[in-house]
This record gives sequence, C-alpha cells and structure tokens, in this order.
Amino acid sequence: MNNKFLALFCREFSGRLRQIWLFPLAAALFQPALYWLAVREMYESARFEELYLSSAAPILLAVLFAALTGWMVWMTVQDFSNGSICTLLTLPGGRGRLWLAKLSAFCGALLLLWAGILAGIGLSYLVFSGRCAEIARITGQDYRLNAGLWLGLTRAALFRILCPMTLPEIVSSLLLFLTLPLTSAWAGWAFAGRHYVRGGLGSIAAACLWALLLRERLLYPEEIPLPYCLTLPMILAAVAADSLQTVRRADF
Amino acid sequence: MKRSKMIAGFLSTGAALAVAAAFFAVAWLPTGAPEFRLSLAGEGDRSALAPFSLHGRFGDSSAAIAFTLTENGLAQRVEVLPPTLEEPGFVTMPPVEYACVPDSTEGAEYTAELTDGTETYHIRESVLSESRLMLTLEEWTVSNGSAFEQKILRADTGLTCPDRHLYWRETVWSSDREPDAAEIREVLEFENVSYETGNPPAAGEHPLRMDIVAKTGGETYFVPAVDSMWEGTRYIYRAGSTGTWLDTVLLPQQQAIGSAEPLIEIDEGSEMDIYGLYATEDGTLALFYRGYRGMNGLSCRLYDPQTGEMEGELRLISSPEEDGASGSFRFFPDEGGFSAAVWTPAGNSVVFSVRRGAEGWVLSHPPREIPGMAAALAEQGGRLAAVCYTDAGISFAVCPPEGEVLYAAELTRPDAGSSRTFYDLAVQTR
Repeated sequence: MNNKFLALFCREFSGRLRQIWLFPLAAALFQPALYWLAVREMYESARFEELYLSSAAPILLAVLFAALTGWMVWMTVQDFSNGSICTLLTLPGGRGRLWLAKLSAFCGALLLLWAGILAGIGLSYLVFSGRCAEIARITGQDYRLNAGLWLGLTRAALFRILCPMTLPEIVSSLLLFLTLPLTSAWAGWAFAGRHYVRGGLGSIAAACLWALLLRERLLYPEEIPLPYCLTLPMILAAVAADSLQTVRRADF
Repeated sequence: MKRSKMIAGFLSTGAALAVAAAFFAVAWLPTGAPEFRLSLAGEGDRSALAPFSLHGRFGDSSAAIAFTLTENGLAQRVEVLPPTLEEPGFVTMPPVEYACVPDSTEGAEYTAELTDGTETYHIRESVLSESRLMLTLEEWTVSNGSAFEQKILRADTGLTCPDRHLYWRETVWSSDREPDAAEIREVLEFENVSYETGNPPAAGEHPLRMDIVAKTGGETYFVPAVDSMWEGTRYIYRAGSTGTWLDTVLLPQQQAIGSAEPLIEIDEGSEMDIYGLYATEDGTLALFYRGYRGMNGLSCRLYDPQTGEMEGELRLISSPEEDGASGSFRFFPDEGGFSAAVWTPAGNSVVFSVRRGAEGWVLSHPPREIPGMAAALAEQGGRLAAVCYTDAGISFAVCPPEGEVLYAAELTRPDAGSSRTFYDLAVQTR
C-alpha cells in the first residue's frame, strides 16, 4: 500500500514540481517587488502592514490562489481526458489511493505556495526595514520598532489568516486552506465523470461558504465566525465521502 | 518514477516547511528580547507589596505584554489578541445638560421687523426674567453596534438665579403681513432661548469635575452640580420615568420630561458648591461638595438612599484650590467602601480611601498627593496601593496612612511603537 501510494503521490506531486514551483516563486519574488512600488513613496513614519495592504501584493495573493485552484481542477480533468489515468485505475484497489494521492499532492502544492507567500512577506519586511533605515539616515529619526514584523503580523486581518496566531485562528485558517485542494480534486473528478450538476452545485456551495468565511475573517477579525466554521467542514466531509464513493464505484 | 524526482519532491516539501518555520521564528524571536520587555525599577521594601498585586497590559488592540507585579517580582508574557478594526465612533451627546430657561414669560415683548430687501419679517420675543435651572439627563442604549434608543429625563430643579436677565428667541417669518403677538409666540415656541445681559452663573462648571449621576440598586440618582450663587433647596433626585428622545424633541425647554423625585434634601445646600454624586458597592450615595461653613474645603457626605438619612460626613481636603486639586475624580470601589483619586492639572493625583467602620464611615486612608495620574487604587489595612501613569511608563506605590512611601516602583515601557499604551490596569488585594 505504502509503496503504491508513494508511487502515485510522486506521479502527482514530484512529476509536476516544475509547474508547482512557479506559484511559490511568484509569491516570494513578486510580493516584495509590488511592496517596493508602494514603499518607495514613503517619506515618513508608516506601518508595515498598512503599506502592505495598500500595495498590490494582496491582489497578487488572490490571483495566485485562484490560479492554483484552477490548476488543481485542470490537472484532475486533464488526467481523465487524455486517458493517462486509465492505466492506473485498472490496478485493483488503486482508485481510492489515487484520489488520496491527488489530494495529498494538491495539499503539497498549497503548502509550497503558503511558504512562498510567507517568504514574500518576510522579504517585503526587509524592503520596509531598508527604506526605514534610509529615512532614518536622511531625517535622523528612527522609525524601526522592536518586533516590528511580529507587530505587523498581529495587526492586520489578512496576516492573521495567512499566519494565524491563536488556536481558533489556526483552525479556521486550516479550513480555508484545505477547502481549496479538497473541493478542487472532487470537482475535477466529478466534471471528468460528467456529473456536472453534482460537481457544479457542490463546488458552488463550497465556494460560497469559503468566500463568506474569508469575508468574515477579513471584516471582523476579532471573532471567529462559528456558523461557517461548522458548516464548511460538513460540506467538505460530504465532498470527501462522495469522492471516495465515486472512486470505489469507478462510475465514469 | 525516477529516484531524483522523488527526492526533489521531498526536498521541496521540506524546504517549504523550513521556510514557514523560519518565518515564524524570525517574527516571534524578537518578542523574547529584553527590548521588548517591560523593565522594573523598584525602591523600598518589596515585602510591603504582599497584600497587593498589580495586573495590566501594555500594547494595543492586537498584541500586548500582559504583566503581573507581586512581592515575588514582575512576571510578563506576550499575548496575541484578535485585531479589532477601527470603526467610526458615535457622536454622542453629553449625558448631562444644564439649561437656564426664563422662569416666567411676564412682561414679554413681541416685535416684528421687515428684513432689509426681502418680503420676510424678523420676529423676536424678549423676556426679562429670572433664570431657572432645568437639568437634562440622556441615556443612550447602543445595541448591535448601530441601533440605539435614546431616553431623556428633564427635571425642573426649582433653583433660580437672582439676577434678572434678558432672554430672547428669534426667527425669520415668511409672510406678506406683519404677525401679531399670538402668532409670534406660537411660531417661536420651539426655538432655543438665548440670553443677552449678565451671564447667569453656569451650573456644573467647577474646577473639580465628577459625574452627577449615580446608579445603584437598579435606580438612578442625580444631583444638580451648582454653586452657592443659585437659590433654592438642593435635592438628591431619584430618576423615575423617562421620555423617548424622538417623541420629546419638539417640547419647549421649560417643559419637564418624565419624572424625577426629590429624594433627599441636602442640608445647608445653598452654602456649598456641589460637585457630584457617587454610589458605593453597598448602595450608599456619596455626595461630594465644597463647603464654606463648618465643613469647609472638599468634603463628602454619605446618604442611605432607602431612608434618606445622612450616615456620615468626612472632610477630605481643607482647600481644593490650595491643594491643587482641580482635575477630575476617579473612583475605585472595593468591599466596604471606595478609594478615590483626584487628578490635578500638574499631572499628580490626590488619593484617599473611605470605608465603613464600626463607628460609621471613616477616612481609612487620608488624602495624600502622589506623582502621576492614578489609574487604579486599592486599600487594605490602611495601606493604599496606587498605580499611576507617568511619562516613562507607570509608577506603582504602596503608601501607609502616614509617613514615607513603603514601596515605589517604575515600570518602563519598551520603545515599541507610539500607539502602544498601558491598559486594563488593576490593583488587586489578596
């Protein structure tokens, strides 16, 4: 089991590393670049997180997450359309593993993107510190703060989603992150199996809940929205159960 | 599957985890550095702290250093709080409003003049009258962040100012004919009153500011904060029914809204400057005033609102002005009494404790001036522990009733951003 799963996982993840690496690299390099565009106009005291939020970096993050989700759906659909998966599926008991391998690979891709985003935020802070030092040299006033990166991370709702600091935040962020690969893998599978209604309705429901949860976290960061945190796992459980059921029946 | 590809996959995952871990480490590590910690410099015997502990936070709405100072020393830890986004605040009306209104409309003059160059009349009602004090209390109920209900109580205190003043109200009347007196009166009924000659002594404007409303046992009590220039009997009132702001917005200023019951008559009230009212934990009403005869200087009277009896009278500061006390009061209730601080313009505090003893109410800690603006007080066995805001941070002192301060400490803040402040400061007794 382990070796077969590993082989499948390597096919899904390691085999597509070149594509997957594009996402974290874009996040790590473009974020500081966009941040620099925002920070070069800074001539006086400003806060790291406020400059970050006013820069184009959050838009880049939205684009990257959307692109990764699209890529995950596309990869699932393509596997079925070009028939390369049929050989694998003829193996006895390989279907459930294949779905799990796909899901794990997508989670790995998301992990890489997340690390890339964190690296990008860290590099943006370096850009910020550099600009602060420059201003300090010109004006003779030092605006750098102790634990400045930490203070910036704690103050912005977006950062509290990307790098959660309390247990409820960790749980709800994990939910937000895991929804993407789970629903993408399932939706791709359902579309490939021509279950357009089921796949469409399920992914729309998950997307709506996901968007609502994200909105609540961004607009009201002081409290974790419990209704969404409870319903979203139910949808995800249904998606996972349906995926495994489909895999077992192999009805495509 | 090539072996090198497998290794590349594992390496990528490992690298991602390492980057994330390094990021969190870089963010969190400085919070453990000394520059991010509060520093404590203390003087005196630390064992004097024994019955007290100081708790508080330093930070802002998203992150803070929570600290506790006891006889064992200073303990502090970093706390991450959910960030609160700044919302536009409400513009609230002052909860208490004094209005001097004409006592009578006798001898009113009604005039109408054509406004220059237009077909409109400038109409005016002028009254020479005594001023009468109407006291308005407003209560706002904010629920769900936006919906609110405003209740209003307007009491006729019956206090008058002997000097006569000319009041008037005026507006522009769009009409092609000159209005008669009855019409002018009708049109001007809801206009505000302005006064012209000789300002009546304004109520509620003392150098010492404190709340005139006290709530205890589900009842609201209030007292007019007037000085000795006003004539009439001073009462402590109990608020009865109230009106709704929307329904009463058009009522003329002379008209009382709701009901206020004169509960306790203040003896020799016309010989004192009344500052305000405070309710203790056990429901006793403390009236703060400055007297001129007998109990001169800043004093306090304690009343039982159930029986209306005076339970005690304490003299606090011989002369508030000379002692520099002209700021605002802050009260800190505890079992059996309360501690209070008066902030002075110099940035210091006069602190004292009042307690119910076997022989009635006593000053368990006489007034003492301490540096800084008192943020929290607690009294135990005659010792008063006070925490005050200072320029460098906060100061903490344990004072005996008489003599030298037993223990004094300065908590200096780390230079970690100007928006970060001390808050939730509390002194607890054990």
